[in-house]
Amino acid sequence: MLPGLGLYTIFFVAPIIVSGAISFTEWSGFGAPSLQGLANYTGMFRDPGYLRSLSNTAILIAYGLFIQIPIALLLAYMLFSVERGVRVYRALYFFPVVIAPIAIATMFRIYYNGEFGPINELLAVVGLENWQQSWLSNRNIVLHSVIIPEIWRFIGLHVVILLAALQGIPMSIVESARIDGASSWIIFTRIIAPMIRHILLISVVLCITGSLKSFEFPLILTNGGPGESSTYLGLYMFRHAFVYQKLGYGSAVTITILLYALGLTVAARRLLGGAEADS
Amino acid sequence: MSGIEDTTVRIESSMTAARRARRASRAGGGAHVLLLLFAVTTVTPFLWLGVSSFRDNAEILAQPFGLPRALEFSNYVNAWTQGAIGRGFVNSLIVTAFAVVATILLSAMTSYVIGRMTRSTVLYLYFTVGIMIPLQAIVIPVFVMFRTLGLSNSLLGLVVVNTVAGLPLGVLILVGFFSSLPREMEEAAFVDGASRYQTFFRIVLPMTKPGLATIGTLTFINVWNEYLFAFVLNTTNAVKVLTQSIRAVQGTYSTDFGMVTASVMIMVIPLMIFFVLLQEQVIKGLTAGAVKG
Repeated sequence: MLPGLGLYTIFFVAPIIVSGAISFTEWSGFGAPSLQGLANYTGMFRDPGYLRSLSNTAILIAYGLFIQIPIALLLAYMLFSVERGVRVYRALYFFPVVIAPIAIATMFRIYYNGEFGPINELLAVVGLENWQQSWLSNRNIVLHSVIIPEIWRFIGLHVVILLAALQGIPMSIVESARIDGASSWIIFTRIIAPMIRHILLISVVLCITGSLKSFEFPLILTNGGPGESSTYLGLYMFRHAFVYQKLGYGSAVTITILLYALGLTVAARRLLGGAEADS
Repeated sequence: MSGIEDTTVRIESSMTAARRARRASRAGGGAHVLLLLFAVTTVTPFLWLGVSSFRDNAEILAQPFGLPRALEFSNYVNAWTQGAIGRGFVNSLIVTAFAVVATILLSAMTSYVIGRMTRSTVLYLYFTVGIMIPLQAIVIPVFVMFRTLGLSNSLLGLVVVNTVAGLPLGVLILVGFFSSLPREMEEAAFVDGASRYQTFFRIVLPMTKPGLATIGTLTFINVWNEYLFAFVLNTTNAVKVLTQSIRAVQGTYSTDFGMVTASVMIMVIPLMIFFVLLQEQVIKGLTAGAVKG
């Protein structure tokens, strides 16, 4: 007990508090930090780089909520209704979840290579040469190129979570609706969706918090560039704290990340879990 | 947060549920086409990676889709030695092994005290609140503290920070586990004159094996794949771990696809073996870990 409590207090709880304190200072990590009040925070919202990273992160979250989770839900629903191969599909979908973001990003950096990369090569093979792109340097598409592998990697995790949710639904309800002549769409929207809402919340929260701390994909694929066009908040913080050695400013960014995570989690809970009384 | 426990329970019994579900199902071949299509997207990238790692780089550049002419291990040899993947592999192995043991042991001891001895809700909340904190929130102070304490650039430092990071979820899982265990065995051991420590190590830990396995699996994968703390804390080559070596290879030999693919494969293969052997355990562990996000 004591070693656990001690280590946790010193290296986990205390640092959170210290982060908060440093965020009001200017500090390179050496010498004494100088108190700045709210300057880091006000400066942040005037920095186009921060605002760009914030909107990029918002787009990443939107991809998660409106593309990743719906795909996962569709796949989970399919898995739920087929007879064979559930275990095999589940394993194949889950495999990328186990592999490090660093490894997957490195792999995709090869796929996206403009000159020798398999994606452009494949497009040539199927006669779509004019779709070929410099996937990681074209400002208009780079953010999407960075987001897609990241979204793809975690679909399997959401499939497993949502499949478990679907399997928790009493089949008798679904069957009796079917006997009454309800279509699959009606069954899905009126019966299944409301019943899995609470577990859907886990997926939604996971997607939000995961996106807010993400940094490996842009780091490996583009280093956030060109310019800041593919920088996420996680990478922005990382760069300011450890490359530019602005620990105070970096901490302030961290605190905003923490607040976004808490705020959005609470909002999601309200939205998806709020009507607990009527279920 | 309580939902996740139900979820993992359901995942365990998912096979029975699936059997039940199929009676009610009426999905046809359309579902299989879609399911198969997505399976293709998760398998082929790794297949290409594996195949390419045995090909000559000039061949990959000239013709990305092709089979190795002969099993060529030179990419692996180059990655292991020139690319220092070997050193990263050994360092990662050491950090991961110690972090897994330490996380299991500390989570178990802490949870035992919280769940059985003090039954303190305050302590329970104190530990589990950490689940909601993204690790970025502690990285800057930890960087400064470790530099002061001389824990930067050491494998011990990485073990410490990874263990601490694993504690909140470990406590969440194990306190739940302890409260579901019968007390009779421990009481009998006490009556027979066993000490607290003897009871803990001889009676309690063996009964907790499934919970410990979940935590061990989760810690193994998280630590093996960890990059943030490694990058921030480790700057000298001797202590760099595998994720760092892969990034270095990627940076230095970016158009040597043969060597890069072999490097990534060296990182992926242990996970692949682990996943194939302990699939249910891994899926259960990572899903339980998903709350952490």
